[in-house]
Amino acid sequence: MRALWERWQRFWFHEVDPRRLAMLRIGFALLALWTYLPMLTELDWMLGDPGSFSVDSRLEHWTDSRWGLYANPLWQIRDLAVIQGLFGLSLVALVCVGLGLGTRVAFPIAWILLASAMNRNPVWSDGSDAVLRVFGFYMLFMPLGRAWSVDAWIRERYGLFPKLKSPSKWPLRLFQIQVCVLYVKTGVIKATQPIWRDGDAVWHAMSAEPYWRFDASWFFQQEWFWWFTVAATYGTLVFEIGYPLMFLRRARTWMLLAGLALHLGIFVFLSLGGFSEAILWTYLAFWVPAFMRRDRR
Amino acid sequence: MTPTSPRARALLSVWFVAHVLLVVNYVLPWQEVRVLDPLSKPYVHALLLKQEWNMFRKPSRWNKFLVHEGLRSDGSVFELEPQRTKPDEPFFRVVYDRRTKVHFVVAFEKEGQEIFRPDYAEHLCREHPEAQRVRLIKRSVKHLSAKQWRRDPDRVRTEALKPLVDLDCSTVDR
Repeated sequence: MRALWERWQRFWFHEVDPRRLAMLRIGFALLALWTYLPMLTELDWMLGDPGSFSVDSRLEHWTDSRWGLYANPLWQIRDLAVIQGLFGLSLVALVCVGLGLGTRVAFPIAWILLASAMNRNPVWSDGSDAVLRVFGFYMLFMPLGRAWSVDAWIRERYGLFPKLKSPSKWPLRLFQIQVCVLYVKTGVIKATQPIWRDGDAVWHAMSAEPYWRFDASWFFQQEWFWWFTVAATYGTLVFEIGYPLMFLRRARTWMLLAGLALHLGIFVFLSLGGFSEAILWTYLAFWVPAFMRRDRR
Repeated sequence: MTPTSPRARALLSVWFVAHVLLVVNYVLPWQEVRVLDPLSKPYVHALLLKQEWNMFRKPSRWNKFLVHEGLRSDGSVFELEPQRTKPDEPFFRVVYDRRTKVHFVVAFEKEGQEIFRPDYAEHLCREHPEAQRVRLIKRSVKHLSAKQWRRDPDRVRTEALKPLVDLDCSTVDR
């Protein structure tokens, strides 16, 4: 029993290299700026009232628990100038997150404003928004500014604060478990669908012309491409359901490479907002670069 | 947060277990096994973790487009928003993808999705003052099979049109 408790503690409370958290922080900021910066000129129809989905309609059709509503007070604002100001503030906060400047304050501001924006109008919201919102929640508990940040530079340069304890792994563990939940859930639900079991799914997913980045007709005319899509269909199921193997050190590199191939493949063919980029960003939670492994020894 | 005392670690551990159980319960695809729903729904919604992770669950065998038709006072019909005009640049297309997403959501025929249609049609009336009426039509184009692609990629594809909204813009506060 004692040994089990020790292992449990090692899994959740072991120290984590703050640079791993910094990678997540910088990735979050870059990804969110990539996704939201172009929206600055589109705020009237996306977030304005009435816009493409009015605040009154949003409230009328709110079917989630009321707690979710209380957690999203900002999106009930109707004045476009205030919305623009808050959206601008969230972008400034994201720049600060990327630089690691006032990270403890900037990250929660960026996260709550962006989550509120997504909740305000779900019509334009896509998978990348959900990834940033859900995984951003776990990052609220991480000391994101301990490394590769202006905060850390100021702390060292001026010795403003006493030496900080090494961060504990548990928020990163919750993040990793959430990634597993995402993959296993989507894998299991796919495995129940005839289109996946018959090997046709990737063919039809890639046939979605509105999402093509380029004219992919040539590929569809090649016989090998059909076999490729069948293999990719079954390969995707195996990869997604087997995603928890990511926790095994021996399997991790192969799993990371398989995921990279899957999502880069989707990224090259189909433009799904920022989803491919966003999901690949979550892989940083599992990846320990070689120089960090060397430092640990 | 770096808990060091055994009590703090034990308390946090209880939360980890409860949290993972509630999150897993929320995404379970089978209603009958979601026994923690009364707890997991409010919990997941309050923490803004609501997401069912159903991506590419059931790829459609049809391409779906939303046709935006405007009707002028002289009876002429014009296109309110052009379909399938992709940006020249394949990678810098965030706004285009957002609009594609809107079209998909408005045209998507799943229970509960129809709530977005009236507001979207009203938005188009406001955007296009010359429109007397706005019509939204779902255009579905069937994918070609592998054999059809190889034999005759230019063949005329099976299409289906379905009217979704027909709104008189004079009822809209412009």
